[in-house]
Amino acid sequence: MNDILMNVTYFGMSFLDPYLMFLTAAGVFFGIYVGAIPGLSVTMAVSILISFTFKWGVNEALALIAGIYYGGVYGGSRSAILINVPGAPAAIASALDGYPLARLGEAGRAIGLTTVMGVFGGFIGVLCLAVGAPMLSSLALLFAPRDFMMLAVWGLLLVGSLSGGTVSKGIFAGALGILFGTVGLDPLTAEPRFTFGSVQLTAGAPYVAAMIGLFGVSEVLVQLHELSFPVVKQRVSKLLPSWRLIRKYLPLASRCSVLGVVVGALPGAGGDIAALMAYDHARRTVRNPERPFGEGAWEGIVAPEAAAVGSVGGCYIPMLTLGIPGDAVTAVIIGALYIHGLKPGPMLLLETPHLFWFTVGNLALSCVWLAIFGFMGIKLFARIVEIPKSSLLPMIVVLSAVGSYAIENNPVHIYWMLGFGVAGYFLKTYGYQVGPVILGIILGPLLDSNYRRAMISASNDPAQFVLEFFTSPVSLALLFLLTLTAFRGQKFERTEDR
Amino acid sequence: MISEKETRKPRAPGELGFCLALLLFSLTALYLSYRISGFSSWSSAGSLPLGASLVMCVSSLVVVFGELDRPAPESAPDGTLARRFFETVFPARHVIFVFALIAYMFLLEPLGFIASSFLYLVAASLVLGERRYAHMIVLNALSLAAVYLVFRTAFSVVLPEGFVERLFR
Repeated sequence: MNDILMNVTYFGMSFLDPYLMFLTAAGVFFGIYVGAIPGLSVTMAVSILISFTFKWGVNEALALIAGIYYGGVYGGSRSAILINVPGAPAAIASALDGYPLARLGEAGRAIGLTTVMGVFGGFIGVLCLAVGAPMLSSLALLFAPRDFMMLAVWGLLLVGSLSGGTVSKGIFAGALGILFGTVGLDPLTAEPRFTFGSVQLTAGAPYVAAMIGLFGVSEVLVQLHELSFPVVKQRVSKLLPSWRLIRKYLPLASRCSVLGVVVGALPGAGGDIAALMAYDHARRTVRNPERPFGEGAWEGIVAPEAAAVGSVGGCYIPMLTLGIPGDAVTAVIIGALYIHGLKPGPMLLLETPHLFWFTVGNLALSCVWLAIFGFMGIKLFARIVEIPKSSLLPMIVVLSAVGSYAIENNPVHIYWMLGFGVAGYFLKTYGYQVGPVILGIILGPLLDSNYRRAMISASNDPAQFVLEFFTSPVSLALLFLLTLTAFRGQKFERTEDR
Repeated sequence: MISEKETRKPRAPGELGFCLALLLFSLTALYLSYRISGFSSWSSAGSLPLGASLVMCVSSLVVVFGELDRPAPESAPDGTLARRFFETVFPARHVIFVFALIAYMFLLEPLGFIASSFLYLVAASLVLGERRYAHMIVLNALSLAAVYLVFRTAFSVVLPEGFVERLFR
């Protein structure tokens, strides 16, 4: 009884301590703008902030970081909707329908709906963290490398439905991304791959510069064709979506939030994969959207946003219970916990349950602040799209250049950005989508290391490798899911062709 | 009688060349992947790059054959396909914009962030047709100041310093 009372006290700590409340609020506010500015990543902001929190108490540090994490994951969708430049990888899917909505003058309602569904997803994530952490973490412990490999392949199967045009162009783009993802030193044998003798390339492909180039610079070049188009005035005065709209999309948001939590809880798969999977889920399951997907479907922003914000709660599950990061941000947070003398892993919950319940409470408070700040400052932000393109486009290039430079304070990343930007422009012009390239870069390393570990455990025997998929219930379940997705994908493509 | 090929949407200028360039890139990637560790083992360092580049080769071949099955793009009335390419796909505005960006990259370190970015913003705005000079200069200066303050002060990003930054030190 005493334990329960103690846990409830720690859960409510952030809500009762004004300083912790302020830090969480500041984190969410700051995070929304970090997430919304293309080129600034939550990982970078959290990494920089960790250096400020060395001397703070662990609760204060965790409160600020959790706020930034939630704000950043949510904030990425704002720039995705308004200027078609996802502020964070988790917002890539939101841009697919969010930007067409902005072009229809519906940016205000789109941001309002993403806020409501994001907050809803966030609360589902926190609830799942509190209730299901022990169950899901024990399941993740059973995962073998072949299961992680199947997870990566599952993500790559989305390429087909994300490519939007010719399937072969989508497959090419995905494979190109995987190839970029393998640049650098091999994680298992330290053999150099595609480094061409360059020391800088041994650290891998400049992923952030690639993302900024492919999504930022290439979009600017595409927009140069549309300079004479009249600027669409955004209806940002109508932010609050109607109750009818919320009620209509709540079942989809619920499903996608749970999907986000599950994907977030799987180590290595964060909000970006969760959002893409949720978008794909919406495309496959929603029969009659008001507008087609890719042309401003409300379902196309509800699904990824609920999943992305929901995945934050999920990402905390393996981090707190197993000491395994759910994504790049939780990897940095693990570093922060070590700095504060804590050792994340199974013993953390046994030895310091108060920390777990404090985190759960603090994440819930972050969702409350997200609901408040999500509806603030949108008018100011939306005015960006009303600025003439002759001023806006060069400013996006400067922001992209600063974002690329900030990765390592190295101008080489700007060259990469420009290279990827021009390549992305031609890819887009000739019908190739750049989303699968980024998806391939994200999933490439996961696929690489786990495929090879699985092959080594099968003694490099392809027959044994295939047989091992049928030896564990987890692998069988994943294989079943994978086959189902591939089969439904083919069926979907045929329907689209008709 | 109109053939099935003629009813399809014609290729964009330069599309076939781009797809062929991607095929060549894929073949080069396949060769480079093979050079990592050959076919030494199913779990070698080069196994996934080999697989990915093979998929690229096959898919780009499919794309090239698909492009060949479409009608050729229309040439400019008084010129060549290259002229049509520079009129529709990569017009002069794009070329100048990209060159301005290259110049910005090279000037960033010698001139510093503020001076080079301001020059780039003004030049790019002019290229894009902005003619309200006072409005353009004020808007660019204000946005640049905001970007500098946010990045330099709030995020502690070290930006290249030049004579303008030294004045405020």
